[in-house]
Parts: sequence; C-alpha cells; structure tokens
Amino acid sequence: MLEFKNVSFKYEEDPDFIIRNLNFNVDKGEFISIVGPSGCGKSTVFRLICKLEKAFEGDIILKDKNINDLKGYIGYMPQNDLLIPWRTILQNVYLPLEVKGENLKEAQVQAEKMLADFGLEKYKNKYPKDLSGGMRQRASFARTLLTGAEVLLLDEPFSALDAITRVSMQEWLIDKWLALDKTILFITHDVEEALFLSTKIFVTSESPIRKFKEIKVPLNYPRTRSMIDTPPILKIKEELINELKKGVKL
Amino acid sequence: MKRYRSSIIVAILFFAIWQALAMYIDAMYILPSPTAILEKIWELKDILFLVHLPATLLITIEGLLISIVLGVVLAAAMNISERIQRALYPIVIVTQTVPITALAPIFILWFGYGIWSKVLVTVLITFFPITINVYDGLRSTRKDMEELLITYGASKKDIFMKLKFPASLPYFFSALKMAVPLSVVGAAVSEWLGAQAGLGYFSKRMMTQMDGAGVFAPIVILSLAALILVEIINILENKIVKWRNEV
Repeated sequence: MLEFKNVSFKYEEDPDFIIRNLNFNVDKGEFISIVGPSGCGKSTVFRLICKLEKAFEGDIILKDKNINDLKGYIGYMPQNDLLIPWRTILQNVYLPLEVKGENLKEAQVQAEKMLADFGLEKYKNKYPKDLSGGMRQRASFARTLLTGAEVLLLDEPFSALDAITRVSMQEWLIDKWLALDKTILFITHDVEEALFLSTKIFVTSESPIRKFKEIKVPLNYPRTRSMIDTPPILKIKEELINELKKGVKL
Repeated sequence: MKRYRSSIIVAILFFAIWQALAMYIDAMYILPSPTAILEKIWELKDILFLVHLPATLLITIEGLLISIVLGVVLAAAMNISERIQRALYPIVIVTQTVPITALAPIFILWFGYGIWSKVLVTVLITFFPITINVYDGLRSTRKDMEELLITYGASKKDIFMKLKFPASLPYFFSALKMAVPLSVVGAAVSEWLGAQAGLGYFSKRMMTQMDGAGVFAPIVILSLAALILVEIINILENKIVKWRNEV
C-alpha cells in the first residue's frame, strides 16, 4: 500500500540527515503506530508522505505510484485539530471536497452523513470554539476521512486531550478503523496507546532514522484495556521502552 | 450605556471646564464656548449640513474607496510575490515620510480646485494603514493550516481565497477604523488649503472672519461624521467577523 524505498532527507538548514536510506512497507488495512522519542523525525516521515517536504533521495510509493505524480492522495490529521475558526463544523468537514472542486451541495450531504455517524450532527452549524477538545478531534477526523484517501496519517491526534477523553477517543478510533477499511499510520510517544491501537508498531530511537524496528501486536480486535496488561504484551511493552530509552538524551 | 459611563463622565467634565474657561476668558474669537458652538451649528444648520457636509463626505468616501481598492490590491500583490513585496514595501513606507499636507497646494496646482486634488490627498493619507494592515493580515495565516490545505491538493488560489483572505478580514476592519478618521482629516485639510466648498473650507472662511464658533462648528460636525462612520464599520465588523479573537 505504502512503501519507502531508500528515502533520505535532511532539512536545508541542518547539516545532518534526519532520515537515511529508510525502507519500510505498510500493507493495506493495517493500523501502524510509529513510536520514537521527541524530535527523532517521526513527523518528518509524515511530512515526506504528504509532500510537504521533498525527499533528498529515494522514492515513496503509494499503490504502485510515485507520490510525486499524485495530488490530494492522503488524509493527514495534524496534532492540533486545525479547524478553521470562521467556518462552521459542517463547512470545516467538507473542506477537502470543496478544495477538490466537488459540487458543494453533494459535499454538504456527505459531510452531514459523516457528522451524523460521528455523533456531531447537532453541532454542524456551530463554530469550532463551541466544541470540546474531543468533539473537535472527531470533527477533524471526519474531515480527514472526507479526503477520500485510503491511507490516513494521524500525528499524535490525542496528545492535547485530557486522560479520560483520550481513552474514549482511542476506543472510538478503533471502532471507526474497524468499520472503514482504511490504512492508518499513527504517530505517538505513548507506548500504551500504540499497544492498544495498532496491529504493528514501528519503533525507532536512532538519529538519523535508518530503519524501523517492527513489532507485531499479537492481539485481536475488539480490544479491551485489560488485554494490554497480559504477560506477552507487558513483555513487548518492556522491549519497546528499552528500545526508546536508547534514544533519549537528557 | 453602562459601558460608556466613564467616557461620558470624562466628556461632561471636559465640556464643563471648557465652558467655564470660555466664559472666564470671554473672547469668542479665541475660545468659543461649547454652547456658542452648538448655537452656531443650529444657526447655520442648512448650509453646514446640506452644502458643506455632503462636499466633504464625498471626498472622504471617494478617497476611502480608492484607498481600500489600492491598499487591498497592493497588499495582495505583495503577499503573492516576494519580488513585488521587495519592490513596493519600501516605497509604501516612503510615501508616509512625505509631509502630505505640505504637498496639497502642489496637487491643487496640478489638478485644480476640483475634487481630485483633495481626493488624492485623502488617498495618500489613508491607503497606508489599509495596505500595511491587510498585508499583515494576509501573512497572519498559520503555516500548519496552509500545509493542511496543501495535503488536500489546494492551489495557491485556494489557499488565498479560503484561508488568507478570510484571515485578513479582522485586520482589514482594524485598518478601516484607522482609515476613516484619517480620511476625514485628509478631506478637511485639503479643503482648508484650497476649495470652494466643504467643512474644511467653511472653517477656514470663518477663521478669516475671526468667528471662533464658526471655526469650531464644522470641526464638531467632522468629528461626529467620523464617529458615525467608525460605528457603521463596527456594526459591519461584528456581523462579518464573528470569529475575531479566536484565531
């Protein structure tokens, strides 16, 4: 579905590479969490996939096509909900369709349906300021889905939420992923979140990132919180934490 | 009303002191009292409101409209192209270092006593805050929002229309609130320097007649006109830019 082939990248102002000859492959329908210490370049991987940065060398392939030949192919959900304050929730949610030049009325119908699925129909004519953090993230996710992209990149979407909202948003996200047949790449620095959500975890602690250590999460869906407290998962958790510790500079 | 209570108290105090001082000095040609000015406005109401106020308002509104178009176009051009920005920005700043009121007589020499010499003075005074504010407004959009739109496949035009333009509206309204009083001043000053009608012209004519209250009467009307225009902009702003302070 998504493949990195020998991708290297460095920021212009930076002498050192942040990503060096990175190869990885994501299969259709997977839920992959990328875990790594802050500043290691996880978000840069997303920026490369979105073409917000250009790879120094190497290719990024999405469904057998080089992303350089594609436009509007990805569903990117940034850390901050980035809902536009002067647009209502409905107008925010259909923005990707509007940019694609689709008929506004049809876009509106699709967005309304999505908001109803997400339990936000009552808020469609409200402005972002009128919504709680969790609702805003749900609206932002609805907007991401309306890009129509098969691959969704979620960059620490729940990091700004309080602990309780965060837990329920994680469960909500799993439900949506199970229902929607999407491939998700999810950045987090929370090991438990990664274990609870993903089919596979990509972990890195080195800089530049040369490869991801891939760890499969041996759990079925639907999942419960207690499942991540079982001995095999706790062992993976320990392994992950040890891997992450290597890259932490105090 | 409660909101304005303190400013009303200050205004009443100010006018009371002025009235007392004027009565003490007792020389109308130096310091006319507020009541004398009001009497004068009443006495000359027909000519002030039907002849001179429309003349000044015409210059003000025309100057303001041209300034808005010029300011917005300049700001948009500077935002779209860095080369244009580098070429124009210093020139826009330099126009403000020129003492425009001192240039007004030359404009009258060039364009005659008609309306355009005065409109030009008004434009030169008012386009600056509009240009600079709208330019800042267009630059105020968050980079991450722009990037999000790029991931949707947005063109430069999409980003301008859906993000930059609406984001600049609060700045545009702030600029207008600055520009309106300036345009009234610009119109009045240019009339003062050479005109056949208008409140500035009227004030100057009263000056030559040593009529203190007559000098102040059009000034009071000018201030009221500016106040009303700013209030209209406030109402429009509250209707259009509901999200202000939330970006």
